[in-house]
This record gives sequence, C-alpha cells and structure tokens, in this order.
Amino acid sequence: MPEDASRIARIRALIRDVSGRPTPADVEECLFESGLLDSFVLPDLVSAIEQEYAIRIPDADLNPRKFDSIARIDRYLASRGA
Amino acid sequence: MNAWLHVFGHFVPERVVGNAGIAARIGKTPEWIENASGIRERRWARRETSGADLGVAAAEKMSALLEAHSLDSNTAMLFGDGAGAVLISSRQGRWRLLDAALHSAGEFRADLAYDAAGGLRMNGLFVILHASRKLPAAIEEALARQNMTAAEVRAFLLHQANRNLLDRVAKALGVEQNRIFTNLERYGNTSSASMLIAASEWAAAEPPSGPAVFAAFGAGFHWGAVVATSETA
Repeated sequence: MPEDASRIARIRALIRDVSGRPTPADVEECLFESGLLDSFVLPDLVSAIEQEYAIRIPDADLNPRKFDSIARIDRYLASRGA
Repeated sequence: MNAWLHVFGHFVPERVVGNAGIAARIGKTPEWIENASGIRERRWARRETSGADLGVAAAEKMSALLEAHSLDSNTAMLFGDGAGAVLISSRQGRWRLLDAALHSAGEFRADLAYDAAGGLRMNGLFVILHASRKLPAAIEEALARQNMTAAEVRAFLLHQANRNLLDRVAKALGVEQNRIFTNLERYGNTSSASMLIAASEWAAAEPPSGPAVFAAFGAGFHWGAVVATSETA
C-alpha cells in the first residue's frame, strides 16, 4: 500500500505533539527503540490518532507493534480507510 | 444483589526495600525508578517466608519471582510482597454491593502471565494500552447500571499497578487524582493483593459514607469493577 504524504505529515505532527520531540526522518525507524514512544506516550498517541481521524481503534488492534514506526501507523490508518 | 463487604485486612512484611536497594541490580538509578513508576519503596518478605505465611487470601510473594527469574528492569522495579483480604457475606455489613462488571479476554494471555518454567511475563506496553482503557470502561459500565457517574464516587480503590495507570484511570473518568486512593509509593505493585491492601488502609482511615469503587486488572487478561456504598461512616 503506497505511503500517503499528507497522512505521514499528520502522523508526524501527532507524534511530535504527544512526545514533545522531533520525529525521525526514516519512516521505518522504530519509535520505541529511538525512545519517542514508551508506556507514557503510547496511550496518548493512540488516543490522539483516534481523535484526529475520528475512528475507534478496537481492542484487537491495540497492539504496540502496529504503532512502532511512522510507516506502520500509516499502513494501519490506510487499512482503516482513514 | 444481596451481598455486603464487612471488613478488610492486610499484611505487609516489615522489611522495607527502597529504590536504592534494587537500582544497581536492574541498571537504573533510584530516581529513574520513582519517575517511571511512582514507587519509592516496597516490602519484601524474607527468603524463608512463603506466600502462604503472608496470608490465606490474596497473598503475593512477588520478590521470589524476581529472585528466581531474570526480569527486565521495567518489570523488576515494580513488585512488592503483601497480602489482603475482605470478608463478604449476605448478612448486612458496612458496604452494600450494588453492581459488578467482570471481564476476561484470553487472547491476551501471553502478554501478562506467570508459569513456573518461564516466570513472570509482562509486555508492559501491551498492558498499559489495554488496562488504561478497560479499567475505566468496566468502572463506567458498573456505575451506569446504577445510574451513577464517577463524579458521585467518594473513593476509587484500584489495583496499584504503577503511577501511570492510576493517573490514566483518573483522567479517563474525569475525577481528581486525590479520589484515587494510592499507597503505591510505599508498597509498590503487590499484584492481586494490592487492591485489598489499598482498601484495608482506606477503610481503616474511617472514610466518609457514600459510594466507593473497587477495580483491578491482571493476568489473563482479567479485569473488573465493583460498586459498593455505605450508609454510615
């Protein structure tokens, strides 16, 4: 599924907002390994994504691996038609 | 529902283990542990003490798991030992049970589990994502059936997992943090004993009458909430 530039930009803005830090240039970089996401920031990011895209992320999708890079978040949102 | 809570009780071992006592072992500083978890110290039973020695209800000797298995620092820093109990019966007591919302979701069993061979397994990121949603949802479910809101609840007695979860539950419910009873900083996470130890200390302080909520989240995943009320202090 191709990346969507405007969606990527929105994802970057959300991550910056909840983490207070700049996002990595590489969309495949693991956000947990780089320290941007942890147990404090991840729940806020998931809530921010839900609010931004007016979706409800179901329990089955509450998996940290779905949110561990900008590219994965983009693919998840694409799969939701967001 | 014709059930009453009569009395809570608890026991914690005398031995206090501050963050300095485990910081080097997990490669962190005492300050890092407190910032990450909200815990300043916990109680650990002596090696010769068994879980059964602590009590016969919800008794946890979590320090034995830390001794027996290699745990990651985010897990090892959390746990303390202790025991809690509550006497429930159909005879009139101090708090009348109004409602309960109990749930389980076995598809997540691998993310928070214990077995003798592998020890304690906790995927902390998974757990906080789910617990921070499921716990407030269960509380609101039980309250809604009683036509009550979180704002009407005098005290929330929750599983003392870590500061992050307690703060998130308060935020999700829209209640002030001081209505979430907290003893986490003194005992750490005592697993199944923690909610009852919290309830025991809360009850001993002679709280004002009114509704109270008891709620916990744990391995399985299993989680739930109970609404009770007292008419007299």
